[in-house]
Amino acid sequence: MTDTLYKIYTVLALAVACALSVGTLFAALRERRRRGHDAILRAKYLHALMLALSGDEGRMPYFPLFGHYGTRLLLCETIAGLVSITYGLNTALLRHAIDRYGLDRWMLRHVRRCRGYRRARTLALLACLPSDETMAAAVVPYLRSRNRYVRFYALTVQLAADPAHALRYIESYPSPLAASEVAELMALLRRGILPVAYGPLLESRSLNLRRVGLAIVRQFGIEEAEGRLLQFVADSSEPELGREALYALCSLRCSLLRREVAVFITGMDLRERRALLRCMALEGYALNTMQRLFEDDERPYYETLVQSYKRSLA
Amino acid sequence: MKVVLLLLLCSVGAAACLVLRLVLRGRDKRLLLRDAHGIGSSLSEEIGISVLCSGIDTPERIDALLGSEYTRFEVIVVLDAGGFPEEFAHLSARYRMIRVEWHGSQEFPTAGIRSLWRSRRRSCRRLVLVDRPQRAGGTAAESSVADWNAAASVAAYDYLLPLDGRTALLPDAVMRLVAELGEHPAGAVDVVRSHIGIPVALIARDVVMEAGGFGKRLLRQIPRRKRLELWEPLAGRADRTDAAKRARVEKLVLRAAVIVAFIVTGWAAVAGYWTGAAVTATVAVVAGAAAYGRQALAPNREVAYLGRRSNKGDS
Repeated sequence: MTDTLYKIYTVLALAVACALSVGTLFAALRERRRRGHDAILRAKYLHALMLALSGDEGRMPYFPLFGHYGTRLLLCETIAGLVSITYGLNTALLRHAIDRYGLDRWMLRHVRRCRGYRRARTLALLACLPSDETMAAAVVPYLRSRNRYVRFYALTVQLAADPAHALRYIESYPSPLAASEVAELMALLRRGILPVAYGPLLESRSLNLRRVGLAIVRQFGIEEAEGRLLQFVADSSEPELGREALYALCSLRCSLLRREVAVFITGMDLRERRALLRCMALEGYALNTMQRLFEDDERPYYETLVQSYKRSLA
Repeated sequence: MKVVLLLLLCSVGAAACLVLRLVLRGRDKRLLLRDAHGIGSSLSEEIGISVLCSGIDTPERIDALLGSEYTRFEVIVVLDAGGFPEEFAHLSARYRMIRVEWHGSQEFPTAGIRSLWRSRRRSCRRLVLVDRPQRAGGTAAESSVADWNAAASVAAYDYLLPLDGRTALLPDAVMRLVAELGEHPAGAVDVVRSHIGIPVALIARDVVMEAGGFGKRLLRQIPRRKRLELWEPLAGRADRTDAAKRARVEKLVLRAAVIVAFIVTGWAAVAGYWTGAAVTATVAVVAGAAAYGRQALAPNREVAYLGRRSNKGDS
């Protein structure tokens, strides 16, 4: 019986080892192809697209070897890389190329076949391609994925495909946005996909929209939002949002000598208070401000910080 | 006894496949985040990283560290001006360092700092030079720990990344760490560490302060829920020729191990010696998984050793 088990195990282990060896060989060949053949083809596609974009005729360029293995993905990557740097040229040609070669439908099929982070990567690529409202509906199933990156990049596809309803998509996003995801949304905003009007975002009942609004305030240094930030700090129902608002006030170099701020600081633990003190020292707040906000037993700590960090401006 | 050995072999093979899966997932995540440009530009107000350098005294290494595009980031180099006057003078001149007043930190009174220097050059504002006298008789590890403690006492940011002279960060390592921290709420992660390549760990400043400095048991004190494990390389060997040679040797050894294991397994199976065949088949699985993992991480190695070199210090 044991010998039979050994035989079965050996055969299975050899099968796994064979599969791994074939996988290694395949990965090496793919890597070689990527460096050689694909790099040359990518340059040709880019050249063809650039010539077509800068020409007046608006004629569809010829893509050599298109239809061969891997060329669709290569063309998608080339177009995605080009979309954000067209500098005012008419991008209708890129949209036309995607329609003509069925790249969006092919990408959706590719998304369906992939799993995990690969699926998220394909969705991220899809978000960079010019597309229409139908794409926003096509990625809805991925908003319920277990992988947070798949969920998030499905949202970015929706935002890119249908920017008119961007706020609705963010509001209905099923999970709270992480700081890194808000940062990615800021990158979309800089690409002109999201609206910069921070007011409705800060007033919204959706936590995600308020976080995006806070990020806009910080990113663009909007001092007019000070009052709303103080309201967030005073609102004890969302301590995480209050903390973010406090840091936003700090980065805007607003006066922190407010009752709301003092109350919030008393509720922070020692680690959070010290992190805030370091941030305040880096932003150049005066010793006097810290004295009025923090207890006397923390004085030696913040005095050291101010005395040291001020000199970094030398 | 034979059943126990079989179970052991099964668990070794399964563990190799599991680690490979984690490495492939890590590779995919790294490739995904490589193109996430928003993280570097918009997350910079949230997360700050101080890189603490011990035994790093060449401008090339410092330039490579200063080359990171992340803004909330500083490089603290610890050097003994008394023991290495030429190196110290060279670095001071190259980066136009000026001595600044330093008051001992209340958090870390035993740092033993002689003086603190900062750069006057705008492009090198993120560089801090710490002059700390080396104690005679200590081991290299003790000296590194003392240097990191001194650097930690002047660090401005909330996360500390200690590096020694033999370790070089991969060019996108800082962005990768920032992206990982940005996934979690503030204060939820105390350590991010990588098991692949040269092990490095990004540690929350407060954890280091509470533990009284860097030490062997520092990472063990951190609860599991506050640890984040990465299965992708963040650092490589600083000596590029040595690293390239080592990589070639590793590749050859793994290929040879797979081939030899296949041959021996076949021979043992034909001879009816199934215990031996099972052992060598397990070796083939482990070597095959290692070879596949190495191949999958090839683009990362390329980044590491072709490397970007900053020209900030040249003028």
